[in-house]
Amino acid sequence: MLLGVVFDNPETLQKIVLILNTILLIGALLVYEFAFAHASKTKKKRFKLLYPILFVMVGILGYAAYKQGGA
Amino acid sequence: MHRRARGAAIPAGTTGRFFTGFLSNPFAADRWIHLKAEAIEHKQCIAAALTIIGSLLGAQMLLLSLPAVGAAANALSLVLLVGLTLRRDKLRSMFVAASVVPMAVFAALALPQHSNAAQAAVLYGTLAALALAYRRMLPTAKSRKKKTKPNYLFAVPAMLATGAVLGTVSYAIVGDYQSLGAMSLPFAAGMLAGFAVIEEFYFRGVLQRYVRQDVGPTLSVAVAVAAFTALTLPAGNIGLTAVAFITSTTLSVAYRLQTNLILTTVTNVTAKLTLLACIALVA
Repeated sequence: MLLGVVFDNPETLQKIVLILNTILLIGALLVYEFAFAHASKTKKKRFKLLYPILFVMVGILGYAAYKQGGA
Repeated sequence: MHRRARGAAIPAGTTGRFFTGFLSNPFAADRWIHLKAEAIEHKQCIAAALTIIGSLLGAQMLLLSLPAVGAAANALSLVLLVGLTLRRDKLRSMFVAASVVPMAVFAALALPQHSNAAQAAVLYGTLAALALAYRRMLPTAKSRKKKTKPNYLFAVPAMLATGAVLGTVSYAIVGDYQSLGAMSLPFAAGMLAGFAVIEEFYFRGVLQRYVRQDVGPTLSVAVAVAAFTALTLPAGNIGLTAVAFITSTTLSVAYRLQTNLILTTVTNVTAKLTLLACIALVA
């Protein structure tokens, strides 16, 4: 990546991405509840691999909520 | 019916290998099954690598032509790679390492930015954070080969020269479109050097490393090159994509041959600083 534009992200696109982010987070919670919540420890370990990604998604959601409150 | 004469040459290729196995091994059936399983596993590895390449390139291409659909495609790509991480035990390291790219694009798209530098900082910050996390979390297979220390006295000047050539080629291709804008030269130099370190840490140190561990060295080069090139697609500049392709191919091949992150980082930093120096000198 050099000094130019990475990609355009107008406000409409930001809103779409934030909605998608929320949907993905809800999806992740449902997957955990139905497939991993009552599973063995070994199986639960697999889900732990997704923690960093989920952490970033929660961060995006938190930032969006903060912006919404500030506006 | 045609019969092979005793002592005649065994036909070359896979059939020949199976045939040799049958002739020399008393447990021919076991050997046949083993070779067949190996062939199936090889096909699965190629399919897995192609899935990663296709999902990353497709999502970024759509982001250029249809931004809203592209954002959804990025989400789908993330879901696909994460789903495969949970489903495929043997290949989970490479799938989860590849899912960092759509996640970083997602973060850069979701947050409002007021300048190109801020946008790139969000993208690279996410890449760095996730790369650090996965480098720590994912298991690393110990190589049976004895590690030989590269001869830095020869390797570092060679890498510096390669970086300078890459930087000059980059300037020749995209120099006209690049400008410092409101940025000061030291800030731009620090930013580009930082980006180069993060690129090497993620694309070579995490993505290529785990793909190589799971499916082999040649496919790992293809995946690393495709992932890096995909990130430049939404900018809609064919020159930038060409520069990304040339740079990442050179660095990935160098990493495949040497498996040394220091050498590729030196090359990438030199390439970026040479390009910046060319821009500053001409402006």
